[in-house]
Amino acid sequence: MASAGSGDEKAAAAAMITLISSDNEKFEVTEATATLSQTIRHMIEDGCTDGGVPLPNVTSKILARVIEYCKKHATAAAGEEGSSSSFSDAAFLEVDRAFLEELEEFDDAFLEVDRATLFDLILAANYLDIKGLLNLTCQKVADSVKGKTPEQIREMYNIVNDLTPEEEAEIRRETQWAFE
Amino acid sequence: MAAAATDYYDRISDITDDLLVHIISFLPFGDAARTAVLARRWRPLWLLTGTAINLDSRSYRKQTHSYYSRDEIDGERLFADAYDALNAATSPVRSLWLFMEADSEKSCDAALGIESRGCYRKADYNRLQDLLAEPSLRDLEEIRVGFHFPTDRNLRLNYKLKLDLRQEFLPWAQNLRVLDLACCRLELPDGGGGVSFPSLSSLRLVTCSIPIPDLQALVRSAPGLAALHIEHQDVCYLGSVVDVYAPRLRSFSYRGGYHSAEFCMKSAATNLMEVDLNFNRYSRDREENRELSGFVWKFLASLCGTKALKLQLLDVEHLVADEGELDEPLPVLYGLERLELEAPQDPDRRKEAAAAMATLLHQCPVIRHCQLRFSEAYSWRRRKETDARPEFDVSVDLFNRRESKEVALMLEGDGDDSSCVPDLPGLTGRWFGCLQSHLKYVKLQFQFKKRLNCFEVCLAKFFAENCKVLQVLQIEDGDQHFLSHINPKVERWRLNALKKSDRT
Repeated sequence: MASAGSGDEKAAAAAMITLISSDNEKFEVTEATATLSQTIRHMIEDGCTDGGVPLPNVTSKILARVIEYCKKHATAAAGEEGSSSSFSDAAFLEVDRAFLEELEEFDDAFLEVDRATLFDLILAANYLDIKGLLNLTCQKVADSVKGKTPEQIREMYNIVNDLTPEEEAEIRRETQWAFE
Repeated sequence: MAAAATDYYDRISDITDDLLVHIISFLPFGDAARTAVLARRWRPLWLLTGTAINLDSRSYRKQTHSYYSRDEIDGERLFADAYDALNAATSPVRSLWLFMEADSEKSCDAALGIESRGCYRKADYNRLQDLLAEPSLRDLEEIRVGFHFPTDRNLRLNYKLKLDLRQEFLPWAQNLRVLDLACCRLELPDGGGGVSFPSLSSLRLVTCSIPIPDLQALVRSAPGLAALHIEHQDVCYLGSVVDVYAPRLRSFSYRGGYHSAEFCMKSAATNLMEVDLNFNRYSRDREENRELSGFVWKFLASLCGTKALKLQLLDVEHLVADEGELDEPLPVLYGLERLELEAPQDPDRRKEAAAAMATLLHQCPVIRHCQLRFSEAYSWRRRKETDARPEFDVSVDLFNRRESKEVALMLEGDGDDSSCVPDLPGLTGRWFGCLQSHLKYVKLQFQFKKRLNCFEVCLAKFFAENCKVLQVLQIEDGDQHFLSHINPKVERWRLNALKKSDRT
């Protein structure tokens, strides 16, 4: 934890960005954390982040989780982009297996949320354009339907079957190989 | 279920089609196709993901009643599905992944459509080769083939699927970026003259077999090759030198036996960043085993420009080299900034291990990060005595045992005097360029099951006292907790050494 702490201190000297959730809560984050979001990165590049970045599509509950993810992953990215450090420092961080394992554990624990939150995270990751988070959460949903029958999936996610029996039979014929 | 339903109201309908397609793209294609019947909205979505075809034999088990073939794979259906998916795809298929899990060579052969008559295996045709020739796969960028034989581990080394890499069979040769094959016998007829993989950037061959000239030709046919990974290559084909011509190579990795392969870079690999060598088997030839140190350094000679090196050896002493006995001087790893070494070390042979360290430090003049992981040399006697070891109390207890007496003595005295830790002959007192101005991070890891040996203490002291620009010295010893006693000492050694150098 010591290394993460020192990283934060270093970044504290750097620019801070204020993110404002849909319910008007303000979050102060470092630029390194915020720029994991491509959307915010572009805003910073365009110089329109003074006075905070309003995120009308993200609630404070979800934004807090997203920031938690970004903070953790920004420490990883910081090693690669550290301005003064030479290649070897970056490589040291990059291939430090213990750190990567820790990151994986973090991701696993991060995904221990109910489905409603998971979908909120997907929407937020998509809106903020955070690739890693988007893949992580979509993969989680995909894993949950893997090997399940359509009936099970419908029940799981409350999907209303609006196909007529004839239509459904037709689709099943088309994709018969997938049902055998 | 009713309660769950109210908790999770239909949030999936909040998700845009694009996002649903993204989710479906993580599914094996059978699962992906089944999503078409979920609801009207879902019907067309899976077709938009058609960029990857994942073939996994585990979804195609068919139960038979025959004792000899209990778990057969329905290969016919597996590949029929692949063609269906290919035909149904509305966007170009960019990656193809085949994973076969089988209990025997026979069931694997049957699934891949390889005929056999008696013991003669008619290997000219297989379903994968056939699929790969499909013209609609022309946009393929990635091919991965993996095998798993849970009941017979030797099969992983012995099973070979023949793949003909002749250009006229391969509509995707121009676009292929990643070729990742296991258990394949590769053939490039006509000495590989006619092949060209202009986009190939990553080549990974695991337990494959390929004649040396063909391997050389394959590498040469990919001028942009950035990563080359060779693992457990078929020994029948190797044993002499493989010339690697890959000017853009950034990462090279080899896993396998000593002397079962030798690689020689023929191009100036100025981009070489990472080298990962894992020697995990001795040569069958006893004579060759005697010269292992020469072998390791010779192997490193053509890779010496690398910036990072990960080296796993069967014994740390394989780094000891007597320059007098070698034909050529040891290569200087002139660009190496980061080293990770993992090797067993015999606690009774402290002097040899010190010599190995000395050789290594001497050949790495600009090293900045150094991570050394020593484990116990394999021994039946010691293995019997291993137990799970609880924490600190036991470690103190162990300190008092006879075997650890020496180490205990070293760390017991809390005076400033560090003379109770012996020097390492061959290491202490020698001048190393890297210690003067480069080496900043040292991580020592010791994974000894039972016996604590004093090499680790001596080595820690050596680095603490001799690294002029040391910033971090990290010591870990797994579950043993002996070394929690060392860390306070390290500080003291370092301070003493600094004071001493100030005085002079």
